[in-house]
Parts: sequence; structure tokens; C-alpha cells
Amino acid sequence: MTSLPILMLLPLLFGAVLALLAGLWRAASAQIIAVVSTAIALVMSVVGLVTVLDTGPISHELGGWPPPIGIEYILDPLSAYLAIIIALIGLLVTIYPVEAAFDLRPGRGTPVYSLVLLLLAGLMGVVLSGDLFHLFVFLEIYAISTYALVSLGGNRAVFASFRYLLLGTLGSGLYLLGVGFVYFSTGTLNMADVASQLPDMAGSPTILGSLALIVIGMALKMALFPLHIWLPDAHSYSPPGVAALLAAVQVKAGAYALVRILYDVYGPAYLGAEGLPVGVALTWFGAAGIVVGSVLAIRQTNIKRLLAYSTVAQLGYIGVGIGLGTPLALVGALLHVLNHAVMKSGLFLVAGGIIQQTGLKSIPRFAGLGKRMPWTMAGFAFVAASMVGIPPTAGFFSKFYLVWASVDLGSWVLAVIIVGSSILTLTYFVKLFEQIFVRSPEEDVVDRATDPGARILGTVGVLAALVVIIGVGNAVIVSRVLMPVAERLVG
Amino acid sequence: MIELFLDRYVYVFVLALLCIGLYGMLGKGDLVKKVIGMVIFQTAIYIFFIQGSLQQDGTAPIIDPELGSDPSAYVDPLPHLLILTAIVVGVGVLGVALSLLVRIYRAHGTFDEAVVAARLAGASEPWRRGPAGDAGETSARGSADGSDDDAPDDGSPDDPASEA
Repeated sequence: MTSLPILMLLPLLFGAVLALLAGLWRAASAQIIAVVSTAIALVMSVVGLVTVLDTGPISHELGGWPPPIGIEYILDPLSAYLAIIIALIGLLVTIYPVEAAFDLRPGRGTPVYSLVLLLLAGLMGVVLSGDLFHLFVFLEIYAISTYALVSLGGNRAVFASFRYLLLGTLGSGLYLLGVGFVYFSTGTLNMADVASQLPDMAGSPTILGSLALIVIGMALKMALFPLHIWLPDAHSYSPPGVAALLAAVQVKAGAYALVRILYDVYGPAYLGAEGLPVGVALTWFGAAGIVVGSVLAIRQTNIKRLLAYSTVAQLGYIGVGIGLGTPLALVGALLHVLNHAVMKSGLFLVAGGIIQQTGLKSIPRFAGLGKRMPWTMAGFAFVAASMVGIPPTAGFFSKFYLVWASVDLGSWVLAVIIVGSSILTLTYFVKLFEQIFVRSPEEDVVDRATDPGARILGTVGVLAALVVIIGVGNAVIVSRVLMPVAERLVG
Repeated sequence: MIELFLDRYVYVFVLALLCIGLYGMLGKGDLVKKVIGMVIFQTAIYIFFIQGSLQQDGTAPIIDPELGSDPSAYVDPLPHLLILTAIVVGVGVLGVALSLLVRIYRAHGTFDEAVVAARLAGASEPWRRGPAGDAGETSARGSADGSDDDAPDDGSPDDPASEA
């Protein structure tokens, strides 16, 4: 079973090539290939998680070269957990109808599913890679497909994509520079090998410099405040399906890489290294991101832009959890990675449904949609409740762990920020709810609107159900997967 | 002091290039110059890796029977390999950046960031336009004519989506 990690990655990579070729032959076949390959990847990821929970981490030597000389793929509970999220969201987005997901007109032969699969393959590679440079390559694979996907959304999206390209390249450039520092001090790029050498080099300025570069690079990739400036444009102008993928899984790859490198490679001791308070910085920039993102989200009238700013706030929670560095806080952050993936992709897919059925993006014009699109809006209500953090939905529990962790550390300010931001989140969703459910239809397009087709309703329904299932079953996820992971990372 | 500089001058050079690249990316108002800055930044990283691999009096990393397997006799080959990969990745990014620039130029006829941003503004920051954010969206869309891109910009709420 040592080839399991590679089996999670290959369906996506081969699928990307196949979808391109099949799309040339018949446009509709590309989507089928995309669905099949993400489904295979999902099954493999679930098998992977079950296996590693049973037998411990699996290491695959690429090309038969044993590490640390060769490149290593590592599948442990943390990477399997992330892989399931990536494959699951990828599957739902590929099932979603192509016109609604990617704003594509019939007859435009954009190899969009090839790009989506390449994006997913890049993300999968990031979570599976056990080699610092190999991780960089996958970072760039997913980044390049992201730039192309974002630019599908029209002229504004092209400009947003260009800005994102500059900052994304800057982020991965800083990461590469940091990796160079590590390599020239330790002579190796294998994560486990580097990790075994770093404790002897505590206090070395080169190592601290590398840590700073890598953390800043990854914070740019995961759009942690104040390095989030590329995110609102890229997420709000890209088509709904792309936005769902970006918000749900793409930024999480940066968060994963940060957790993996910070805790697994450098070790928690470096979190409070002298002269470089990484943990404190991540925590408070995260907290600032929560407040700023939520406040800016309240001011938005475009639904996708509101969701994009809300993503900035939600990534702040993840930053806080990573920065606090206690097992509880890490559990909160990692659980929030899953919750936010499910919630935000659900919300973007609902937005895609609204846009397809009515063409509306401006919230003040949504009046009365609840009466015309009851099923879509019911799904929306579930997911939004989870965003606010109403028990027993999923969103409550990750915030609960984060509040618990900050109270544990005696940081009442953080606890107040986390709880208070739920109220801010409530504010912007109440604004939406009032328009959708309380008002009666005013506009013709709303009056004529109906629920979208089964594929949109189905994907939204699955995500709405997942919000509740994860919420109710969070104890299982936490005790079986996340708590052991967090304790191993911190301990 | 001077010896220290002579020993490390390549790193000073790399740092200077990094700063120039960063300034080009963030400080320049011309989109092409931003791309050039990005390339300079990446090149500085490449040079950093290549310099790091150097070994005083080292030769090419092919085992020479006379020198044996003494690692200090050879240049470290791994950074060269990494940078070869990074250059390929960089070319990919550059290709995407240039193709985006082509689309921006076709739509707006300029590479001036301020002009492009102003033409696309409006609904992107609705509070600047007051509550009538949607009106701004349509005007921004109108100004983007002459583009071969028939996909609507964000927020063209007046026409119902083609449900065909």
C-alpha cells in the first residue's frame, strides 16, 4: 500500500490531460472525465485516511529513490484529511453545471475542466509532498491554473488575475528563497531530514531568516490579513465555481503548508523563537483579519464580494488557531479548514444558482427570492447559519474550540474578538435574510425565478447536509483525527 | 571589511536585484514594468541558489577518478537542478502573465495600471459610488467596449442570464 499517496494524485493529473484531449473531441465529455477522476481521488483519499489511522503514516519514494536523496510523498492523517476536503469540494464543483460554474457560453472551447483538475492536482501535491522544493513546484502548478481560471470571469477578472499573479509569484518566490536558506544550512530538502537537523541550529540567523521568508510567503498564499489584498478581487470577479474552489480549498493549501512547515519541519519551539515571534504575529494578524474582513463584508452589496471579504475574516480564524499553537487551537484551526471549505463553497454555489436563474448579483435586488427559489434558499439558510456559528451546525464548533483555546491561554481579548465577529457575521447575513425571506418580490426577474436544476440543488443540498452532519459528528472527527494530529504536531 | 565584501559580493548583488524586482512589482505603475520586476525578482533567486552551490576550486559534479568522491572537490549539483525546474516554472508564470497582459491591452488599449483600474472601478468598490452600485457596473461595462471578450463583466444585473 505504499503507493497510496501517488494513487491519490495520479487520477487528477491524468484526468487533466485526458479532459483536455477529450474536450477537443466532444466538449461535454471533459466534465464526465473530471467527475470520474475527482471521484476516484476522493475514494482514494478516504481509503488513505482509513489506512493511515489504522497503520500509521505511509511514505512513498518517488521513482524508487529512498529519502532523503529522493523525493518523498507522505500520507499521514493530516494530509489525508486535507486530501479528502480537496477531492470532495473538487467533485461537487465538477458536478455543478458548467455554464453556472464557469460563466461559459456554449461553443467556447475553453479547457476549463483540464484547468480545474490541474488545480486540484496541484493542491493534492502540496498536501502530500514530503519535500520542500517539491512543494514549491506544486504551489506553482496550482497557482498557474488558478490565474487562468480566475481570468474566465471577464475583463475585471483578467485584471484581478494579473494582480493576483504578481502577488502569488512574490509569495512563492519568498518561499523559494526561504527554502534556499534551509538547504544551504542543512544540505537537505526532505522535510523529515530538515526537521531532524533544525533543533541543533536554534538561534541561527539563517534559519530564522528562512522561517520569516517561508511564513510571509505562505501568508501571502493563504491571504492572511494584511496580505489578503489580492483575494477580494480575484474571488469576486471569477466565476462562481472557480470562486468556490478558491475559497474552499485553494487558500487552505497555503494554510496547510504553513501548519506543516511551522510545526512539523521547524517544530513548535520556533513559534516563539527569540527575535521572531511568529506565533504572536500570526495570532494578532489573524485577529485583525477577522475584524477587518467582517466589517468590510458588511459594507458590500455584491453577493460574491461579500463572500470574498467574509473569506478574509474566516482565514483570520485559521491564522489565530495556527498562531496560538496549543492542541486545542490547532484543532479549531484545522476543523475550521473543513468547515469553511464546506460553508463557503456552498455559499458560492448558491450565488452561482441565483446568478444563473436571475442574473442578479446585487443584494438589494434579491428581495423576495426566498418565495421563488425556496429550496436553494433553504440550503443557503443552513450554510449561513453555520457561518454565523449557530449550534449544532459545523461553524459553531470550530469557533468554540478557538474560544476555548484562547480562554485557556488567558487571552480574553481574542475570545471577545472571535465571539464578537460572529455578531458581525450575523449582521451581514441578516441583511441578506431580510431581503430574501421577509420582503416580497419587487423585480420581474425575481418574480419569474424558479429553483435551478437538480445538479445545482443537489450540490448545494449535499453541502447543506454536510454542514449539519459535520456539526453533529464533529466529536468523531476531532477525537479520531484532529486531536491526535494536533497533539503530535505540538508535542 | 573589504574582504568580507569581496567574499560576499554576489549576495549583495542578489539583494540589490531582489529590491529592484520588488520595487518594480509593487512601485511601478506600468503593468509591463511590473512583469519585468517580477522576472528580475525571480532571477535574483536563481542567482542566489547558483551562488550557494559554488565550491571553491570545485569542478563539474561528475566523479573524477583523480579527485575521488570528496564532496568538496565538486560543485553541488542539486541547486542547479532545482533552479532548472524553477526557471521552467517561471517561464510558465511569465507566459500566463503576458497572455493576461494581451487581454488587458485588447480591452483597454493601455498598460497604465491607474487608467485600467479607474475604468474598471465603480462597482468594485460600491461605497464610493453610493447605493447605486449597479449603475456604475453598467457604465464600466460600456467603457470596456472594443474588446473581443464577450463575457460580461462582473455585475451586469439587468439582463437575465441566458438560460438557454
